[in-house]
Amino acid sequence: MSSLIPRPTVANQEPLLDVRHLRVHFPTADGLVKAVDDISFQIHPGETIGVVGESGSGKSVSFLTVMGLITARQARLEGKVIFKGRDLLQLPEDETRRLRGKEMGMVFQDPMTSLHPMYRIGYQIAEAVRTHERTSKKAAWALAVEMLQRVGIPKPEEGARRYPHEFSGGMRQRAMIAMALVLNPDLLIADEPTTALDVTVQAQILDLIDRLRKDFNAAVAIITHDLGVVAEHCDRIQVMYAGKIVETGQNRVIYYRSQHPYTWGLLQSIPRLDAEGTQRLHPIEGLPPSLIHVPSGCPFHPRCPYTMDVCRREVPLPLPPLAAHTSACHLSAEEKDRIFSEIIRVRT
Amino acid sequence: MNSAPLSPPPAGPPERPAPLLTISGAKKYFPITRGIVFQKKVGQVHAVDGIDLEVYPGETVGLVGETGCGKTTLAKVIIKLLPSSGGSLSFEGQDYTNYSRRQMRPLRRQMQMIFQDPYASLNPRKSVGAIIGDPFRIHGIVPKGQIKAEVQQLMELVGLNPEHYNRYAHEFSGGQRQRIGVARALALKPRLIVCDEPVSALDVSIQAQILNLLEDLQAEFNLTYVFIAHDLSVVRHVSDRIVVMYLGKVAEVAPKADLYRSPKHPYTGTLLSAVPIPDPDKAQTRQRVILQGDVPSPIDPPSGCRFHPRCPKAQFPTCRELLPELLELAPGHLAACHFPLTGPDDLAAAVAARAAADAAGELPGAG
Repeated sequence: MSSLIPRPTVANQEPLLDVRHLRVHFPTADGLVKAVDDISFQIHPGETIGVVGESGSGKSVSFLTVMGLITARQARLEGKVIFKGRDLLQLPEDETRRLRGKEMGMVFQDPMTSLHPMYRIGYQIAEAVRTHERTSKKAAWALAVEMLQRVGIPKPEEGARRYPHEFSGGMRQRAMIAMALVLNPDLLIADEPTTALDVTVQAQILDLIDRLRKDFNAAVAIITHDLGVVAEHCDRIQVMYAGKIVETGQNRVIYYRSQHPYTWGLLQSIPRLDAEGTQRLHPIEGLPPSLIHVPSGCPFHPRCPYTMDVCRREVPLPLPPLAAHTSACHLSAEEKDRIFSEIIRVRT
Repeated sequence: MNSAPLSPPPAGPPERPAPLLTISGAKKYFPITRGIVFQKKVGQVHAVDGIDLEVYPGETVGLVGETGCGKTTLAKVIIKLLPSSGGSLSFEGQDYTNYSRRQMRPLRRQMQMIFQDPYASLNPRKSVGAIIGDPFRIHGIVPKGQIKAEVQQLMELVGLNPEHYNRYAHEFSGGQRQRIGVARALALKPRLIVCDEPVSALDVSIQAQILNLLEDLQAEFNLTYVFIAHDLSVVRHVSDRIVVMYLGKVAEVAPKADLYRSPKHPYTGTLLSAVPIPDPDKAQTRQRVILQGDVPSPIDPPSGCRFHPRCPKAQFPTCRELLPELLELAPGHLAACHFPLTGPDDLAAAVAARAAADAAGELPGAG
């Protein structure tokens, strides 16, 4: 594959994270679960990327692997995860441990279960600091209080002394973000950060992530199943299905010129607040495939309304290679443009 | 407590049928107790605090609000899974507020519920056939020999493979489990189904499948839905009329189109502006009002209008001291607000004015 086409991304700087041909396969009693199957992507400093897909599409697993939370002990790992020039899959565990938390932070979906119920919020944030840096307890605590203030916890000194159960869902998620950002990491991974929250709180949290990204100049990966959530907050979007990246492109490109039937399906499944009247929704028929018996050819072909013979036989590659907007689909570009414009006409 | 007027019938043909379900002044307080041996009541959670609502045959009433606004409690009160603390409930003119379990039984055939969490609401030790067939056995309306055939028919109706009759709930995905919940609710051919966040645990693509299924079933069996959700775009999609709740009270009731076109209550306005839109350009150009803080505790709700501590339009001392009544501001459109929104830019203007006032250091009526 020649890579002569320059990648028109955020300047031409070194990517912060460069994932190449990553495979994460879990051996189980029922067979090999191909949770992530040959994905390649990059994240550049300071950009926000949205990772979108259904449950079981491999979006969480790929980032847990990046974080070093899935190791060769649990899964068969192949490929490269290059973070700031070093391949994380080759690093010894204590080395990845030093990176995790300090250079990469993660916010999990469920703030109810990801905080320790028996320690004070402030202690849990200070602990992250003291694990990585030689600071006094007092200084670490002061840093925790400062972070709580920055994420918008009212009366941060008091908040730091509270236990997680005394916080509401939104406040816990703020505390999680404070914990993830306290050491000023270069990459923040937010795994469904707002799925468990109300719309009003969701808007608060997404705005907070936006603001902190600018303040800390960190790159952010937001993992979600809802294309609506990321429309306002991401520079780039990558859509995953059955362990593969099926489409990736700049934010507006995905919403206005998408080139993959699965993305179309996601867009058409969302009830829209901004549409005139209410039309019937067009869900994606069927269910996501088993990752043990992934369908032959294009994994989406059993649910795709535009399946051709070739789709059953050949795995489509992300095309054009290394372009800013790629899609893995056998339909011709003209055909895709035509269908997409028809869908858009129906919708609005 | 001021009792608000009953919600008038939604816009439509002038001759409305009698309401199927009438709720008036429904209340549900949960006691807070201290002590183990001698329990002493030290307070109460005002989960539902005086709700009036009429539901007409064949319509879908959407209930929206943030976590803790009492929507699920209200659903349970309607179905009488929880005894109410006050007010009255009637189904087709029949007051069932104080019915015993035995008296409720015939009514239960008419009213069913679909629960939020398809993982927690199905018994893991029973086969799907047994779960869906239970209503037949309990109510004894289908002869034993025919139960299996009936259940398989229901499974087919909701899009499940009837051959999976003997499988267990854990063998199904979230969307399929929710279909099982729908089949169970449909078994007795009810007139009213209370759907408590039926799709919020599901992926968007599966969510759309379930919403379409509910729509089809409504048309086929002339069902009436009370549909609870916190997602306003889902509620807009399914409902004819929408009730916005805040801290156990109704903030606004309106036909769907009116509510989304011209919300009257500032709370509705802020809720609408927080909904994500899957369209980057539209999302960037619209005015967003982000509500600060969380819903206050229902143990000791704010005085006057319960929304006043978070409301950008609140004026003091009126909003702090006077409980606003639910008044009809347009045909079929009710709101409980002293200073309802007047136009699309009103809310944003109020927010800007409030921000300017804050910057100048003069908190209006702070304290």
